This record gives sequence, structure tokens and C-alpha cells, in this order.
Amino acid sequence: MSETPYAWDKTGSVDKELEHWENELARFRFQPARSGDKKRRWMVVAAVMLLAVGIAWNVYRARISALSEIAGDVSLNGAPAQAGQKLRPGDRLVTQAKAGATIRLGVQGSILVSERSALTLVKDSGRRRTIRIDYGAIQVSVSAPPYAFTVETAASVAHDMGCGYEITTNAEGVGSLRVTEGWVRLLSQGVESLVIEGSEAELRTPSGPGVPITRNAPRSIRVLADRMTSGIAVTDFLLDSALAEAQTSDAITLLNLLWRAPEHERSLIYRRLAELKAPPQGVSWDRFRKKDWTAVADWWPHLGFRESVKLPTQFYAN
Amino acid sequence: MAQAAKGNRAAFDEIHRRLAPFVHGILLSRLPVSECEDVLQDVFIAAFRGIATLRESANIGPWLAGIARHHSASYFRRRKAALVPLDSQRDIKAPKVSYEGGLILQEIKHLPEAYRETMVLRFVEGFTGPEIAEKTGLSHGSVRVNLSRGIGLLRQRLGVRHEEKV
Repeated sequence: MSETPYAWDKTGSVDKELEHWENELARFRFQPARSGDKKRRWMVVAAVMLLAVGIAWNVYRARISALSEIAGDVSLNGAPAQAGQKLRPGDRLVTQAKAGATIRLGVQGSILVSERSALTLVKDSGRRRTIRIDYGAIQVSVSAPPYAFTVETAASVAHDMGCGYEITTNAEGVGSLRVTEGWVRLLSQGVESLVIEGSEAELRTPSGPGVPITRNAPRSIRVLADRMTSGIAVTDFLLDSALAEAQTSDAITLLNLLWRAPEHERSLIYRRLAELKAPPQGVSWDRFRKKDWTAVADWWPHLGFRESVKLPTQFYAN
Repeated sequence: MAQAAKGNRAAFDEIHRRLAPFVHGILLSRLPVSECEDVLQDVFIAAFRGIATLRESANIGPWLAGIARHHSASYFRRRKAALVPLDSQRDIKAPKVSYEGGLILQEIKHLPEAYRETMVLRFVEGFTGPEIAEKTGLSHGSVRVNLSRGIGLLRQRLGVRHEEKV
């Protein structure tokens, strides 16, 4: 035992080498505060991780399409469907009599599928979705940027412009689109209809989609629209009667007829629409005569439609 | 200790405050520095659960030391990295350490196991010989021997290192 008292109990004269060891090793000594700091650090790390997991989950949920509710006999790809099942591109959902299902489209909205319906999820990138309804009826409620959600039928394509609507169709694509909120751009055979809330249009006519008709439209307006879209000649009597009976609520019908009517009828329709809703400066018959459809976009804000029916700049008419 | 055994959290905190440096020293003589704080928490959690089984309050130091040694062994088992026999450790080329304290600690960890704990408790945690004896349950004579031989070996090893450097 040749060690000094300092080595044993730190008494006596200081051993310089041992003191040097003590000083150098002090950094490894237990430090209560550091323990607490580390604990807090771990808590912060855990909280950040939880937050990250939460965000990731919400992002994931925002992207997936899934069956949120089912009732009755509903099948997915031929097998019985279950609530909570995810839908992938190519999946086909079929509802039998007295059955129904709700599809949640991430955070975009939802589709209520009625009985005796069949639809297929065609595309789903999380931000853009396309479904094809083979037959039956769906009720769509979507809050998404224009063109983010599209419904195809056998005869037409409905681009959602941020709204709510119902589509009923048979396997041939004969059916109707009824818009309850916002508006829908309906295309068929290369022709376009702008269907706003409160109006209804046929999905398919001999010359493209139907022209939107409001619920309270006079019968003459309905007949006029039907004949023009069916390629049947319109008598002056019918045209005069319909335009005379047209009200401001029929502005959407008249506007759509502008690019469906022959030039002579078009000039009369323009005149009546201008009486009902005066066009702004710069919008004239001359532009419509030359089929300058950008005039529609210029007139649109002055037609008395609600703010939710705002025409986007991607309007091309035909 | 009786209060701690009944689940009194404040009493146990006092035990933690008094003995955490001691347990830390036991762990530091065996584990990488970065692991000690986490394993220390595990040791005290295990101690809190089992303190009711401890009959003599005077034995709490050796008892905690036993838990710490057990957790150190578990740490290596978990990582499937068995402790390398001390004799063979002498042949392992020591990694370069950029500061002297790390180098001294590294050399202490290469000492025989009997001296390692005592050396860490004395020179890292700052306990005196009598305090080490009291907490570990070893006799004064054993601690004296461990210290004396440990210091001698460490001086030797550090001298060798110094010569290698030169």
C-alpha cells in the first residue's frame, strides 16, 4: 500500500497526477441536470415524432379513397364489400336493390352510391380522381379545385367545379345531371354545357349534352332547348314564344344555347339575354357572331349567378 | 427507506439523489458513456419496483450495485455483444481519443474488473475510499487494495501510452 492519503480520502498533500486525473475525468461525472435535460429532450423528440405520425396519417387519409359506409348487398370486385375498405384504381363497386354505399374521397368529399348502381374508380392520384358510373345513380359532394374530380358515363364527362350534384344514367349513358351546388362542366360528343346549381341537363342528346334547364323554366323554353339539341328545326313561333317567356332565372339556358343555335336564332337569343342581363362593356353581338366564346367569360359575372358559380379561366366553349 | 418501500415517491427520490452518482459510477465502469444515463433510469425503475424486497436499509448500496451490474450485462446481451475477456482486451488496439479525460477513462476500462469500479467511483464520481467501502459493502482493506493496484496499473498504462506517443 504505497498510495498517499490523498488517494484514499483526499487528505494530506495533493498528489498532482491524481488531481489531474480527477479534473480530466470530471466531465464524465453524474450530472442530475443533464439527466433531466435528456429526459426532456426525449419527450420533445417523442412529441415531434407523434406530430409527424399525425401529419403523415392525415396526409395519407387525405389521399386515399375508401368505402366509409355500406348498407345492404354491396360488392367490391365481385366480393362482399366492407366498410373501411380502400379503393384503388380499377376497383368496381356494385350495389344491388335496397343497398347503398358511401365512398370517401380523401378530404375532397364523398360519393353516395344509390341502389342498383355500378361504378369504377378509374384514376386516383390523391389529388385528381376519375370515376366511371356504368349505370345507376350517384350523389356527389366535392370541395376541390376545378377539374380535380371527374365523373365519366358511357356518353359524357362531368368535370366537377367544386360542388354538389346528382347523376343518373343507364348503361348507354342516357340520363341526367342535376346540380345542387356550384356548377359542372358537362362534355359530350365534343360539345359543352355549363350546368349551374338549380339546373338540370340531359347527359346525352343527338348533338352533345343537354342544355341546363332550371326547375321553374317555362315549358316553351324546355321545348326550345330540346329541339335545338336534337337537331330539329325550330319554328319562329316557338322561338318567339320561348324568348318572350324567358325570365332572368333562364339566363343559364339562353347562354348555353348561344353556342348550340344557328346564327339567326343565336342573334335573337343574344338580344333577349342582353335584355334580361345587360352585358358589360366590351361584350357585343359581334363577338358572338364571330364565335368568340371568351365573351361568355366576360359576361358570366354579370349574369347574376352566385359567387360559387364562378367561371374559371379554362372556359373554351366548344 | 421504509417510506420508499411503501411506495413513497418523495422518499425514493431522496434515495435517487443520494445514490445516483454511485450507480452511475458502477455503470460507467462497464458501459459506453452515452448509454449510462438511460441505463441509470432503468436501474432506478427496477429498484423502485423491487425495493420492498430489500430487508436491510444498510444494504441498499450493494443492492443497487447488483442491479446496475445486472443491467450492464443485459445491455450487452441485448446487443449480442458479449463482454470481451479482459485478457484479450489488451490486444485490442485502442481507438484514438482526442482529449485526455477520454483516454484516461479508456485506460481505466482496460483495468481488471475488480479495480475498474473502485477507480471510476474514486476518480470520476469523486467518492473517497471510505465512502466507496460504505456504498459497495466492501471492506476498507479491499477498497484500499483495489485503489492502490488500480492506480499503479493505470500509471503504468498511461506511461506506456505516453511512450508510444513519443
